[in-house]
Amino acid sequence: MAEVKTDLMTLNMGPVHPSTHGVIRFVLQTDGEIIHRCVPDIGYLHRSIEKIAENLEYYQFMPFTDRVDYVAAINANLGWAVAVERFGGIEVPERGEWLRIISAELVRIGSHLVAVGSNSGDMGAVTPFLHALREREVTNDLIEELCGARLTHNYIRIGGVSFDAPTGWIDKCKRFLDNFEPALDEFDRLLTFNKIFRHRLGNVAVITERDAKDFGLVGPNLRGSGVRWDCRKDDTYGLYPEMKFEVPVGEGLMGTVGDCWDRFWLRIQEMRQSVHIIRQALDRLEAATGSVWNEKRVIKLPEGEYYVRTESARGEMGYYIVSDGGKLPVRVKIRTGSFSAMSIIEKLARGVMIADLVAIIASLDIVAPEIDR
Amino acid sequence: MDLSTWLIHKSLWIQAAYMLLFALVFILAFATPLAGVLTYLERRVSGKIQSRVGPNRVGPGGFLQWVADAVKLLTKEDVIPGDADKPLFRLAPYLVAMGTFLVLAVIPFGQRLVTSDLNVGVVYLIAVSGLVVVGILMSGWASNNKWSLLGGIRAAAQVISYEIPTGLSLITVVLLAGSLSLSGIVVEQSGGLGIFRWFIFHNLFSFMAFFLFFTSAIAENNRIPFDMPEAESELVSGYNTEYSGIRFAIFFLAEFAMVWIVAAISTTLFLGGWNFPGVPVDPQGFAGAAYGTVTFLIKSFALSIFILQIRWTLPRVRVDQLMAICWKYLVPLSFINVVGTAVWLVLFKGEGIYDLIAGIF
Amino acid sequence: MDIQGLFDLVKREFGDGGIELLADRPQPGLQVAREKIVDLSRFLKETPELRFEMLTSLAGLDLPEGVLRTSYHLYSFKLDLLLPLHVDVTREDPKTPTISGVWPSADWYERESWDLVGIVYEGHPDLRRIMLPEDWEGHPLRKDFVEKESYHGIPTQREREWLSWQK
Repeated sequence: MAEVKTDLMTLNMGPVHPSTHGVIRFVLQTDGEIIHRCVPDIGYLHRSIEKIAENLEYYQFMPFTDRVDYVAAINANLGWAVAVERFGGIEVPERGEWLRIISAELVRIGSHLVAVGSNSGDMGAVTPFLHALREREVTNDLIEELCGARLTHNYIRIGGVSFDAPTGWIDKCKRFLDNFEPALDEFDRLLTFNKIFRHRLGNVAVITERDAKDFGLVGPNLRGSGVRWDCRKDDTYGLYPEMKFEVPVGEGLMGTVGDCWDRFWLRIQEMRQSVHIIRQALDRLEAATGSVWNEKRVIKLPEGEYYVRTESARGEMGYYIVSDGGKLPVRVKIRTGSFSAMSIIEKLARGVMIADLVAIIASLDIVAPEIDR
Repeated sequence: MDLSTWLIHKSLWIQAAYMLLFALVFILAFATPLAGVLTYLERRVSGKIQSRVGPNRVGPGGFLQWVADAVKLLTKEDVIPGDADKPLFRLAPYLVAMGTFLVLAVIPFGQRLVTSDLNVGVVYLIAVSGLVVVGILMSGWASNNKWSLLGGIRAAAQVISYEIPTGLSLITVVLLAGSLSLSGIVVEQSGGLGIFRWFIFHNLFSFMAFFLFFTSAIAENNRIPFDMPEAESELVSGYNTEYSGIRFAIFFLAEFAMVWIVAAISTTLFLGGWNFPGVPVDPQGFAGAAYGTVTFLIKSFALSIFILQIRWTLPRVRVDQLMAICWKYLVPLSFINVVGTAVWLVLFKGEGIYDLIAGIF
Repeated sequence: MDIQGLFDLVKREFGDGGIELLADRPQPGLQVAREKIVDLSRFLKETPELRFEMLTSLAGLDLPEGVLRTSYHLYSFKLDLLLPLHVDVTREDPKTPTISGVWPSADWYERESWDLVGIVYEGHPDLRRIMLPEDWEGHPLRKDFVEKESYHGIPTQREREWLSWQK
């Protein structure tokens, strides 16, 4: 029988697609279901935020950091504020620090809920997505009471936070946390240990520790491969040293260490740790008094280059500021976790099926604004 | 009430016209509302599971939502992609709908209420469901869209693979009933207090066969957990991505009607059809007949709500895992069922567990 | 090990030229000549005492007086040390050797740096634009970048577009 001449099919998983998390495009070369090559194409959401930073003073740039990662905006705000304060020599009052920690962890919970929910929605289980969003609504409401916005918060200021917690807010937070932990357990029962789910995600796209470090992965992607490294503990900032929490790492419970299931499970564990942190911070907030913002009208960083890292929902977010001593920065570079995660997809996607590619993108928790800035 | 006696007339043309008219009325008055009501049920059930409400504005409790959707889809612009294969594109939805609605002709809704009491009902069932595969492949190819093509091919592979466990489980039932006619199968399950002679309780193998049949039929229907062909998050909508308006509505209705049909057939074959304590096998008046029909409808709707719930609970199985489930697990188990049932029938002379126990007393 | 110890180790390996320690900065780092960057990177990554396994950031900068700089930030899990490296080139000759052979993460970072600042990374497997469209002209993050007036018929200046509607 003669050899049947077959060709590779070029598919375009275009910028508009139900399961790419934002506007990113993949050009796939497949042989039926198996992918031979997957080339990501980014830049659809490039808003030149780094160029804009060169024309704005340090405190004016804060709303733009929201847009760098609009799913977890307070974490991006916090990174910028910590970067400027550390080398600008600006102190933050204690109450401001506690509010920073609480709001950052609440937003981290919200972001992980979206990540976990959309991961399950991409796998076909739509219900946990809606349950996750139901919980996220409560965090959105809490943050809205605090700063007025649900998505692009612009809450952190250089030298503190913008608004103090209204009366009754702390109790609302505590009530949310009490309701949230059973909801996470329900999520686990419904989805995490479901056999079909385990088979979809287990042993898919295993990222070894060496690959993770080589490609610059950070955050849950790095911890999923077994590297116990968290900016809040290892390159700490604010009052995080006073918080007691653990850093979970992927253990390969349902497959190999570093597969998609590990990253999924890891995000759920991180949510539990965030709840723990918020509880401690709420108690400390009740005891702290004073203002929340040490306002400085003129902020100048001394001449030089500074690279400061904080732990955002998607991993280490680094702000590299080059200053010439004046009021405007010379260059701001924002290092995000999603950019590195995108760069490893080409390597991971060789030889997997299209359905697995969706699992990979979902488990790496990629948001488009972080990639393109 | 065998409706075929109504349709016989001297002139073949008038007879054909009668049959066409009857089919039209049947589809419009029964099959489509059936599918529509099922879409309403699905949205309500899914809302309940996902802690939201579902449609509740149009009509009492949102019951007329599907009518509004149908009207909207009817008034939409008919968009056919430029390079699509137009004749195939237009034909595909009708094949899928035909493959689905034709099955309704043999389902026994009550003791005497069956459209066409074919004495090869089971074979007719399997044969007609095969049209669905052709329709799906056609739509996947004719859409001139690589994603639709992928969906169509996945669907073809899936449906023809899962025909096998379905067919084998049907053979199990045929062995037990000794008849290929669906109403004959239901009559065979009567007696025994109305419950205990259902084929699901007949013996262990037919108990397994029920679950195998149920699972394979859900796979035939492209429902989650087997909905790779229309995996929303990967293929947008698989083989029906390029369809809009009433063509899409036909695909959609066919899928939901199939949910009910799968439930109805499972009820007929394994859960006793219209049998229940107190339902007369030979009704003498309206009450007896109505009782049987209502029982049947309740059972089939309960099973279809179960199918709907499964969709919103479980994730999707990947294509190769789906094939593995079929060929490595369901097919061998179905064979074991057939052989086991045959052995049981020979050993116990055709008596089920209830009959054996009743025979002792 | 602190940065001074690290620098001594590096000097022992590479001798005197090309690598300077910038010790008086708030974040001390190394200024490296472009000929040495690849060997230095490999040395920093593979030496058992150092093990700078992660390239955590690579930024292209446009500095005054026609200097284009690439700033690398390396991180060693073993030493818990963040090390900046700077390589300066001129506008007339903006070529730097690529380090994507040492850390694969540099691949995309260098593409971004080429795209936005215009530093050419020699030896890069696939140096093409990553953020901007393939046919864009110019490198936007340079201080003297001026946008073209229209891109494929789409005007880039707001006032002009508004005025054209007015007519």
